[in-house]
Amino acid sequence: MGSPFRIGALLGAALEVRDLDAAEAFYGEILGESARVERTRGSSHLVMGPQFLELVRRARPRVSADTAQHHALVVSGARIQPLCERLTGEGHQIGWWREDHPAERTPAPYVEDPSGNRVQLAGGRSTGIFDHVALEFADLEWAEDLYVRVLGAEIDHYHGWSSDRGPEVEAWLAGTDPAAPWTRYTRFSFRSRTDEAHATPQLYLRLGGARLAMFLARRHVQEPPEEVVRGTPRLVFSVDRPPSEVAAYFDGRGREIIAERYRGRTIRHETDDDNIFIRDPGGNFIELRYGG
Amino acid sequence: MAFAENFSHSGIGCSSDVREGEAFYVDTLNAQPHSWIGLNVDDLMHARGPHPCVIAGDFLFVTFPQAGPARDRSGERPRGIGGARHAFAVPKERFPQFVDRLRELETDFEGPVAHPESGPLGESVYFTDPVGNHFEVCWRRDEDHQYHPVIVGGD
Repeated sequence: MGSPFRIGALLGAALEVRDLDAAEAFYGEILGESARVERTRGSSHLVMGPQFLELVRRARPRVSADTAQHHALVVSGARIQPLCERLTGEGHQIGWWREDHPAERTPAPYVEDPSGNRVQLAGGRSTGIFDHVALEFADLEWAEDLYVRVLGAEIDHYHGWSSDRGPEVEAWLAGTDPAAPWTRYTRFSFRSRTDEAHATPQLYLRLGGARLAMFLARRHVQEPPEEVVRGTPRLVFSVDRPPSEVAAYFDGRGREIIAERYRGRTIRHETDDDNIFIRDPGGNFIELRYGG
Repeated sequence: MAFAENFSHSGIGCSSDVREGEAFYVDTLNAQPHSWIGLNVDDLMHARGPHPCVIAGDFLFVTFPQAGPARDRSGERPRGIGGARHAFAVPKERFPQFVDRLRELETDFEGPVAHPESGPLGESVYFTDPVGNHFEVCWRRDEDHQYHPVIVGGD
């Protein structure tokens, strides 16, 4: 039996930033003039079409660092090159990398915002802000159980589920393939006494109207305390059932699904009016808005 | 009582794509996915890539990615040539359903093959997984016989 609700559109995302003015200017430059800015105390909303990007001020923001986490923002193809030149002129470093999803085989520009959140400039057309979002997990099996079996996401593609390293990985190790750093990892082999490279296990999902890229972490990263359920960075989706019904499912059948492989584990959640907040096993935060 | 009490599990290379390999065991044998090894950050540096465990009946398969090209099975009978195969029994009345299932999945198989009436086996079908490991599913003429109960662990 599937979930009793359906997750709909990706309404927006919230990121932590150190300096609101600098972050507003950075994202405003990428999104262009059609983005509307709504400033409140301690945060700023950039709204474009049906989606928003919320920038939340934090003294020590939780940012991408060297994890796989990144938000891919839609930029029209013609704007990408001049935008990269402007950002470079402002002192930003641009990394041109490719990823392993069939839609991302061509190198694209990646840049960090002034606080260190990684942003991908994805060429395309959209009335909204996001092309896709990439998340990282210390346990990808648990993440698949939550997103696919509990929340109803569909598997779009996967990569790195094989020990067959293949020529692409060897090329990356030799420095001739611009695969993004988080898509590969190396380890020293005591058999061959050399560094061996492998593709990081990756799972690509469709959740509601959004594409999510999920990566296995290559090292441990400090997560927020387990009891924290409402936090940032956060993805915000619409949901077609009220929070009480969603919460009942998380406490019932949803919890049973997770407990099949993770005995005693629960799906932590909190409700607030028409919103329900959950924390995934990677410490990523999700908000489901009823009627959003 | 034998010194080795029961046949516990097999470690088996199943496919270069382990998700595809898992799907074969789940779809064909109705095996239950158990868990993955190598899908957390601690295993990443030590395991040989992610690989799933599946349970068919009470038997555990720890499957591994099979490096290199799949075996050329052209001209080879699916019951194997002197090689080992895993054989599972189903009740006699469910055997035709299993054969129908193989046809539905378009899995190449040999059989059903009738065994001697004096022996313990009734009929068998033979097939292979994506990399050529041999499997047999049979029904047993002695299925009403009470065997030594399987002891998975403990006293």
